[in-house]
Amino acid sequence: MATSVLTMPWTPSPSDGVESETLTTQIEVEQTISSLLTTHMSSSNSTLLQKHQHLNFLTAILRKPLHPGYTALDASRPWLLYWTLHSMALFEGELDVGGKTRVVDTLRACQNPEGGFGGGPGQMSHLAPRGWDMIDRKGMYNFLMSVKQPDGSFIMHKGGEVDVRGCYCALTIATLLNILTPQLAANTSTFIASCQTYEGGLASSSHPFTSSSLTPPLGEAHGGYTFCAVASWAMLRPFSNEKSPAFKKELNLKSLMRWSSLVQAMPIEGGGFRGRTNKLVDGCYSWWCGGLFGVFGGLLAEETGEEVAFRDVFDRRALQEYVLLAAQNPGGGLRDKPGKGPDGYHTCYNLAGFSAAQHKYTLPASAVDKCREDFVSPFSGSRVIEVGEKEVEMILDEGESQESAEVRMREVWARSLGWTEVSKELVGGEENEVMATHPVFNLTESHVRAMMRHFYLQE
Amino acid sequence: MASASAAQEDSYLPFSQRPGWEDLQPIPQADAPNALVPIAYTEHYRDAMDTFRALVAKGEKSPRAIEVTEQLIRMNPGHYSIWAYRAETLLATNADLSKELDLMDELVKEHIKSYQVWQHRRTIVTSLQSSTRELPFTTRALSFDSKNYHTWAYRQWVLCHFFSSQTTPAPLSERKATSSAEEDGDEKKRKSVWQEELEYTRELLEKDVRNNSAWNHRFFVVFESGEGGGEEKEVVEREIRYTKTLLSLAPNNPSAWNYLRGILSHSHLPLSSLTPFVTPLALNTPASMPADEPPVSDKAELPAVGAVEWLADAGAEEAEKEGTEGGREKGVEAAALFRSLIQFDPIRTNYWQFRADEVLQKVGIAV
Repeated sequence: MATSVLTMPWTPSPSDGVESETLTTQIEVEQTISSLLTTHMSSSNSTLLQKHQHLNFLTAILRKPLHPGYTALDASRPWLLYWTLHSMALFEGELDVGGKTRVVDTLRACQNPEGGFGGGPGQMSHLAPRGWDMIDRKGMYNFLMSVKQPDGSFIMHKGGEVDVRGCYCALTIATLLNILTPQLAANTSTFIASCQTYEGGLASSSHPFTSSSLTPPLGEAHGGYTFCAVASWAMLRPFSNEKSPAFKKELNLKSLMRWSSLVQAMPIEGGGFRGRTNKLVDGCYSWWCGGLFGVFGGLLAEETGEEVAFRDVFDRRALQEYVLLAAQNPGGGLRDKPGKGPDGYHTCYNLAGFSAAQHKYTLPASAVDKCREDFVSPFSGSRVIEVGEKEVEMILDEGESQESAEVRMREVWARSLGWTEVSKELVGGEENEVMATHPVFNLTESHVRAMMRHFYLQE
Repeated sequence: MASASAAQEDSYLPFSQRPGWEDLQPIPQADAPNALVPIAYTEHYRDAMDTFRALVAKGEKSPRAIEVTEQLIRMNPGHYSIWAYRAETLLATNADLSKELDLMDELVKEHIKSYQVWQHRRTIVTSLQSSTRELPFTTRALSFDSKNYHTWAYRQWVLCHFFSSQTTPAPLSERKATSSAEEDGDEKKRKSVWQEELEYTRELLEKDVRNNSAWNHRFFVVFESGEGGGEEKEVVEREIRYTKTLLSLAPNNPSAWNYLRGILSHSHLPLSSLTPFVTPLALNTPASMPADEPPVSDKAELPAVGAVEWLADAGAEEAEKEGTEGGREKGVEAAALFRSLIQFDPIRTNYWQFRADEVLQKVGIAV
């Protein structure tokens, strides 16, 4: 195993004799974190993941009425559910039947008659919520097409903003629900590539000029947007042979990998990730940046055609140490950094990043082939298929034949489920192990498998 | 404070009891009875939401819809449905949009991280077709949060939308009659806006040379907007010189190294073209900086990781070009430089090792 951040040299950021606000805040954080690390060095169980306390923290968010201060998240309640439930799932925390019913009831009240889910009951549909069996797939498809823009991007809701979060949410939903058609995917990879900046990471969006081929990125390279963009890129691979416009840009994986490696924080900061160059380390980037390397692994395995897992280019051990030593809140829940309070969002993305650092994934060609072979056509002469007592409609583009729809469904299926865990590295012993999370969807593998079996009619 | 707000809650007068609102039947939230992640709303928020739902049910776009949505977004600036209805109502009622911008000027101070505050402003400004307030406004916002992501993305959108020659002009029928002299004046003004943007990034970097947002904006202005002359040789040289000057003052600044790499990559220049400048910073030999390069600050802490990486990458670039025939020596040298980084920057041991092995493989050396 690699060296611990506790034994690496704790070199403070060099000042070069030039003071500035960036440096001042950076040095403050380095001092806070390194003094916390020092106290950990003299404690015996500091690298223990406090599962029990975190579960209590999560249960409280789920069931107790949240303080009025949470009103700011009144349009994000499905997100609150996701952060909480996914965190619990990473601990193998299953809800009882009553709890599951309550999840479905809560989300059902957020679904709109014209398709899509809102951030709360009666709220307009927004790209970000998620759900399952009560989902109106046709309505969802229509909603996704209604927020799709000609340049391949997605607006977050009617009248809303364009950014790569929209692509990620739309593609994830469409992949899982088996409604990812060529029309829905069209031009999106071009839009994504246009968001890559000179630093190698990706920005929130780009500006489409109508009269020129310029599409400058808006904003700077950022961990959250970079993850959304790169995971979207991976989901679009089944459509990479589509006829593409002449100005199609490719994603530069080499500069992307450099940027991703360079945003891992130094030992004196605990080894987590920052979200942008020269910004402060923050536990949520444990996933947004730490999670990127799993997706790379797959993209590069595909590019090189190699069976072997792509080698590690980040420090898995240091990332786990940041989560354990700096991000755990002593009373339960996980946080941005020492000195900040815990919340659902940071708990989820710290744990997801922790999982990505423990479980190494790749997308081997042989596993993808195997999934292709195992896939059974869902069509039986008709696009409306009876399953038990209900009818399931296969969503096709206008003019798309059942044969070509079957081919792309098989591809999407195989490249979603071909992801394979190849090795494991656990800091602090086996009791710290959390469940593996899917490198692209950030759901536990068993949830992804169950959900896709359901919607692709594979038993 | 707490008791004052509690007293306010006690004396709260619901909308349905206020003059001019009695006709509205409040509609409660249709939450599942056993819903999870419930929020303990304040009475004011709950009542305003119930009233809002009543207005939406009627499809009412009126001054009182503007009033109730303002109260709601003050309590929950992330409520995108409220913002969207407010925008529709403002446009449908021909409301005074400059007053709306006054409100946005105020709200952004407290809610600078809300996506919706910025998206709403875009909608209003697009409809106003006027950009006069926007650059000074974002400058003010950046003066108290110089790296705010939304503010920068918004500023860049304003520049693309209003000040770019790439923007399709409005259809003839919608254009105001202008004399050609006026058009010349407009064009002059447009160009000066881009000049001022460049100057603005210079000011910001003077204050904080590590402000990556300012570096990123400079790249946008010079190389991506189509307005900064980034294709011209003199401009490229000016930018290289500018960045080198700031690097010789503070060589441990990844933002500046990234910017410098960005320039070269945009201009299809090899990394090795800057080797004379980079070498003294990488090898801790500041006295050997060539006379025509900016002098190294005596407070510079060398070797700078960014400089060592540059030399290693420059060597790798050349070695890969020459391949297995002539590139072996350069490849071995580059790999050694990559490995030397492990000592200064141990967290990236895997990455430096990967780059070292990669270059060796490319020149045909087994690892």
